[in-house]
Amino acid sequence: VASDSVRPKKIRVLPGFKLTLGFTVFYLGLIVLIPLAAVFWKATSLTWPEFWRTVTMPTALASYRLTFGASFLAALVNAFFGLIVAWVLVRYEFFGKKIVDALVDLPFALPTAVAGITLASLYGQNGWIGQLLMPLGIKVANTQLGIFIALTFIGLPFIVRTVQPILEDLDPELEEAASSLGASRWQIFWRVILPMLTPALLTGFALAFARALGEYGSVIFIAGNKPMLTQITPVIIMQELDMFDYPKATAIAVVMLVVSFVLLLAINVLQWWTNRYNTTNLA
Amino acid sequence: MTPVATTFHTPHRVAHRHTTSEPPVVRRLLIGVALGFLSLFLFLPLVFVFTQAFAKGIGFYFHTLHDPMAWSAIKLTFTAAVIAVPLNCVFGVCAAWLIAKFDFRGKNILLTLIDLPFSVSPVIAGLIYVLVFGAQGWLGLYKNADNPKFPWLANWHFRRAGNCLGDDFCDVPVRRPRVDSAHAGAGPQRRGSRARARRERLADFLACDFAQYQMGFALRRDFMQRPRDGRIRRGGRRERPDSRADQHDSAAH
Repeated sequence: VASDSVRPKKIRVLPGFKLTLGFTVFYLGLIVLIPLAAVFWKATSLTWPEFWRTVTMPTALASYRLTFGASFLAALVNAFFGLIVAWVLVRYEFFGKKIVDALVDLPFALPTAVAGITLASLYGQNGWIGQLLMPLGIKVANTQLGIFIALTFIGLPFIVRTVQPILEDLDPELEEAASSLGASRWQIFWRVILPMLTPALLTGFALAFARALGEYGSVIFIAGNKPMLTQITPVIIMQELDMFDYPKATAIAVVMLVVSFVLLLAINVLQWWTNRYNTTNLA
Repeated sequence: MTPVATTFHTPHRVAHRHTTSEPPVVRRLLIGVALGFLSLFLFLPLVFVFTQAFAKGIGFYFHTLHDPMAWSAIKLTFTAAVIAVPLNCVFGVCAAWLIAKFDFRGKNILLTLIDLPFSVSPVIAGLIYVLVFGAQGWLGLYKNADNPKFPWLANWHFRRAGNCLGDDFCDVPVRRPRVDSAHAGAGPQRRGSRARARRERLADFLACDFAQYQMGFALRRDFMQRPRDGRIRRGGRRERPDSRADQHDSAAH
């Protein structure tokens, strides 16, 4: 902090700093901040003990556990398979690669409700996959497994699309140098390639995780929404809204909002940090 | 180039292929795993959507489209998108310029706020607009909804403003990053020396940046997250091209 006063004042050569800052903050305030502030303002209509009771009621607690657990697992699975998909798309040639590449974005473009209905009927008792899993005693629709599958579906593009460009930009000379120093292919991957992919992988993971936390449309159809069992947090909010209990709904919304904000802030700081790290290393 | 260089080229290429790729078995295995995963989670649902949609024949499909309710819903969706997307384009250019070209305190917070709509649940997004525009909301636009005088207002609120704002809210982060990375790629150095930069900024803006915006938009408009041309998508990414430019500058002086 003390060094700030010592540092000479930066002269900005490019125009429009004040204008763009002003407009960005204005628009953001109008569309995002003021409405979000309304949530916090509404939540203050509850007293502190009331707020705490609402936020920690058993169904809410169960829903946090489910939402966070399923989102985390889905993001983890996506990180693993997404890395393989990105790798295969960048490094290998195979039939239909272009189509596969284009389709990876699908979960992002598809309306979530459509995705939800499709997955629910696909994994349902009469669905193509549900039929096959039934004899094995695996039920997907109306279980936590179904939620996990829906969240995996929507999170996939984030990992692939964050890792892919980094993998494309990777300098082959680094791998050649490692190989000339006697590294095996596995060592090259583990010691050279993976560390360079880690920031992108972490970002993709966090994006998929953050997206999954707030997911609603694709989950409700496959989850069955049984209290304490397959009820995600947004569904709890929706229920309170249906009963016109706005303060309660906002109380839970506040929890979700704070978590999303912290998570995103962590992503941004992480990126800032890893970028710094990379520049000093590569310079 | 001397012949020595050309003869050197061949073993180099062989070595390249050998050390920078995997044995065929591993390659096939990885392709298999990737395609298996994708078909389970992606292709099967996609095929399923279409078979379900056309299960009762193409005639039934178009019959459903003719349903006035479905038709008005489609129209509403498009109207809202047509209003929301240009608004966000303007915002996106502005925010991208700010983030890619300037460093300032609180940038991380601003970035996080811009990204926030992306991770906020649509349920909460809906809730916040109800809180602001709803009957008991701050603006309470349609307090008189049951008053025959104001049905159009209620209508307007829900059909236009509500939907647009909702759309807007969800679009905000999608719009920005692509343009952001286009910006970062352009970098301040493109625009010549410092003195000239001031004089020619409008012309340069149109010639250099605008072309890049258009690219950014073209890629972004379909809501796809494809940061093809570089690191990831945030302001920090700008550091590499910048530092390189600084070296270049100092070497020139």
